[in-house]
Amino acid sequence: MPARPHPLPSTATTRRTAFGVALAGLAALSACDASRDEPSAASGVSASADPDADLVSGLSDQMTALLGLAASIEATYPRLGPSVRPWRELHEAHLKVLGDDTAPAPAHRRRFAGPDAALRELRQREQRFQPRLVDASVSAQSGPLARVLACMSAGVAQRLVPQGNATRLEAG
Amino acid sequence: MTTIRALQTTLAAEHAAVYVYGVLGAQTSRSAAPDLYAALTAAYTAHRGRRDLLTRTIADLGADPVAAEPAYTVPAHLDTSDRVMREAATLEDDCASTYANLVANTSGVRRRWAIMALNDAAVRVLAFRGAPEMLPGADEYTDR
Repeated sequence: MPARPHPLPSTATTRRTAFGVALAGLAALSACDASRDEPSAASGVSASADPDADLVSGLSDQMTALLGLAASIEATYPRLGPSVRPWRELHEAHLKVLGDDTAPAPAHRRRFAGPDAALRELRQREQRFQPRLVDASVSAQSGPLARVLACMSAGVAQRLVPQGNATRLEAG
Repeated sequence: MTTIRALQTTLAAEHAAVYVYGVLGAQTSRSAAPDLYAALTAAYTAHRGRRDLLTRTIADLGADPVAAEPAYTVPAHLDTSDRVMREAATLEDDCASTYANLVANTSGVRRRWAIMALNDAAVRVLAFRGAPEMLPGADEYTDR
């Protein structure tokens, strides 16, 4: 069976420490990879080297910003909760997997051009973020981390599919 | 897991997917269920294309691509569109997991290709009325 990252500990006290813990687990698993396409990706990484720490830190910052936007929209337009909450929950779950258990900043009401504009802004930013997850997965030194980031990109891609896009269920 | 082995595992999964989609398409009426038939046809075409690309890639790397099995186990009672859709959604979930593992065992352009295939499978699940997940393809996080 291929190596897979395990659920990550959530007891770290700071974001940087948390990343270290998270990456240590991923790095330990990546060390099991006997052979990959490129030597840099094949030898495994030591937890102390943290070759993916900056990558994870940057992604975490972007996810936190998206989380903040979603929370602001929800605080400003409570009736948009059903549309915004799935995004908030998605990024909260992803941050947890990355080992970032920093408490989210309190949501503040913000001035938007209207509810439709607010949703449009959130969607556009999510659309820009999804390929960044793909690029991050490609550039990750750790195979298990690359896998998790790719799965995150797929999770965002699913949420970007317009609702009602499912195949109609005909009688059959 | 080596890159070759991961590619072979993925190819074996695509052989199965092509077979099962063939069966699902045969169980679906083009006139009575045109949307479902079109979705199945699109999925079949996508998986066949990836199967062929994987076969070429493995051969280019100097290995013998794993062959398809003579037949695969397909659930019985595929007599309603609902059951066909559920089977297709399950199939895409399995493919997402397979490609996620390929991501972990490749790098560069091959890894990017695997990510795109993972994304395609995850989105295709929704076409077959599957539910969005936090981390499609990462079975260990299914409940998150």
